[in-house]
Amino acid sequence: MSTKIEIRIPWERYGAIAYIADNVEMFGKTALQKMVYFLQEWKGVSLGYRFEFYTYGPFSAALMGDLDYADVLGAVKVQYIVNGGYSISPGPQNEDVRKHAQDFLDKHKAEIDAVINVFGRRSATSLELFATTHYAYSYFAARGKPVADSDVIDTVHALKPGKFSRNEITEALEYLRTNQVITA
Amino acid sequence: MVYCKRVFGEERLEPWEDTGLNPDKYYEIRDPIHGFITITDWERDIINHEYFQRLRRIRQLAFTDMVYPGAAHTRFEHSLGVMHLAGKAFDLITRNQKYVNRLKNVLHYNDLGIERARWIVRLAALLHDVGHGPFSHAAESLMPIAAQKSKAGTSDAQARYSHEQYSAAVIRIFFSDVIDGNRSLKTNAEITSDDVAGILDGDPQMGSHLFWRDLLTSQMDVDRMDYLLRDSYHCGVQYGRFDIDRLLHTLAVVEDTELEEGTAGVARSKSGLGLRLGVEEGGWHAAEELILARYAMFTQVYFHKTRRAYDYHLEQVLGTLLPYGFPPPDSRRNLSKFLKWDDWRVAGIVAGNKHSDDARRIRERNHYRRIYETVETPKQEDIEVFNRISDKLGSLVRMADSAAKSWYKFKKEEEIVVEMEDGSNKPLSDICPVVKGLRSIDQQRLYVDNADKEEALGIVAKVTERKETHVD
Repeated sequence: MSTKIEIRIPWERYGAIAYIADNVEMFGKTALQKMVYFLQEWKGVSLGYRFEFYTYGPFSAALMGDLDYADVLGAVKVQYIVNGGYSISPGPQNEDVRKHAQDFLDKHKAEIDAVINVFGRRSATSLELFATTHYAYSYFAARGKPVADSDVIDTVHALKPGKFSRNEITEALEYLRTNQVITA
Repeated sequence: MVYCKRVFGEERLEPWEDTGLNPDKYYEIRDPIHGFITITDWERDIINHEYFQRLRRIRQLAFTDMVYPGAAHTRFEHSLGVMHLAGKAFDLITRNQKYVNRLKNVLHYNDLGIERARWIVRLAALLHDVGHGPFSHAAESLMPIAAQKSKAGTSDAQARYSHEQYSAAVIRIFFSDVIDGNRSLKTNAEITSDDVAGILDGDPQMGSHLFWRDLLTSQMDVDRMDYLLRDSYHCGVQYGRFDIDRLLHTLAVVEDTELEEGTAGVARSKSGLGLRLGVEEGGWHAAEELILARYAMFTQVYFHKTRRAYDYHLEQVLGTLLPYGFPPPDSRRNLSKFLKWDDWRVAGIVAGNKHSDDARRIRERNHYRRIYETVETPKQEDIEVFNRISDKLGSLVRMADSAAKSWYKFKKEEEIVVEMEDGSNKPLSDICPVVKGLRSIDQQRLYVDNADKEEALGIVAKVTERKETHVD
């Protein structure tokens, strides 16, 4: 046999997590999920995650596992704050892990920065609303017909009747349009 | 006729109003894990469908019987078990008035809506694996890259279709006759194949029903509850056992007290804004056991070094048979082609193929041998050593494996929420140091031909400067 067989370490995934941790202050697991969701679904930067839909919005189980492993590698530090959720911050090997993914990060820096600019300062609840609204919008857009705002608003509202008001969902749609996350 | 909500495993029958969904007859099937599994007459019609019967010809654990000879069970019995547990879990949750009130107040369910959800959940559980390829997960490497979004808008960028997506498509296209066409289901509850598939693939139009998705696919779902117990039983090991009765009896519908994370700091948001499946404080040890069972089964069965070698040989055989992979699950024609593939067809080819080295290895049980592996959770320096060994071994390496490539994984997932007796919610890892200490497994392995083992061992020893290395 002449072909070398080797394991491919997904450094681009760990690198992206490390980069976000280095450039976003005070964020948690929900925020990471939604930012990587937008990186793939809005900016088209594929990290190979499949986001499935739950009542709390699009979620990738693989990303949760990668965050834990990024912690093992020292790319990030994930800390549980008693009664306060999780906090993700740069780990001691953050720069080193980003170096492993340098090509990927150089190529996609603009896209990752755009996601951070639009969503990096938003709360977890807001990000859940934005991602859920985007997911619902994409669901209808995939049918190849013009998307009616009312369909998106009804769908998001039905998922969590008590959490997001129709006004909040309408504002989320507007925010996504203003930032050209959705274009129609 | 008065419909009786059965709490399976107990002698109690709870009368409900007659909603027209009451089955004409119940049937019982013996199961080695759960005892009698009770099904309705119209569930039996679905079980008798040719594509559900196909699951009798799909082994649960592929060639795991090369290691654990008893592991020859199929997706058929597992699917019945998952339906049984889904119904049991649903009944136990909804006999608690506190949880029923939450379902009504937060998700706007009424009694009929809850009953309707019960049947959708049972059917989704029953049919969740109808999209498996031959030898279960071994075939998933042949599922194509999904270039477009699925019906539910699932993000698939560079990710392969999963068997769950095949299952959802098979349900929508082939089970509509027995679901949509069932008089009781259609006329009285308007349950359709779209409803059942929608729970599985997370169709956003399912609205509040998606709450029940936690019961079918989450850290604490009935799918893994069944397969851990069933796989343990058939393998003859005890690793996958946990206190399922305690866990089921302490499942909870918890209010979503999601935590705010953002630049403004970390603060609690309002509670009662959504619901999640969780566990009562009295059940967290059972939830802990479930996670530990999954850890032990992963290391001892699913990621067993020899079992993984046969996964590889099987993938190679399948890759030769289907150089372009399976067709995508986007049409009746493609799904019909896909569903023609089962274990019998592949095994027949393996038995008769005189040209494939991998088929021969399966027939003769002469698999590649693991020659080196990292620790379960390697750090950067461990990966560097692994890469050096791989470089030195060069063309002797026949197979490289990674826990991350395995279809069964042990990775940190969404936290299990524990509802404390004081009404607060805590993540399980906050109150359970054992769970907190578990890390995602990303072990890496190298395999060589048995004939090259001694030479390879010498090379590994030189690199590691150790006299003893990991060997078969």
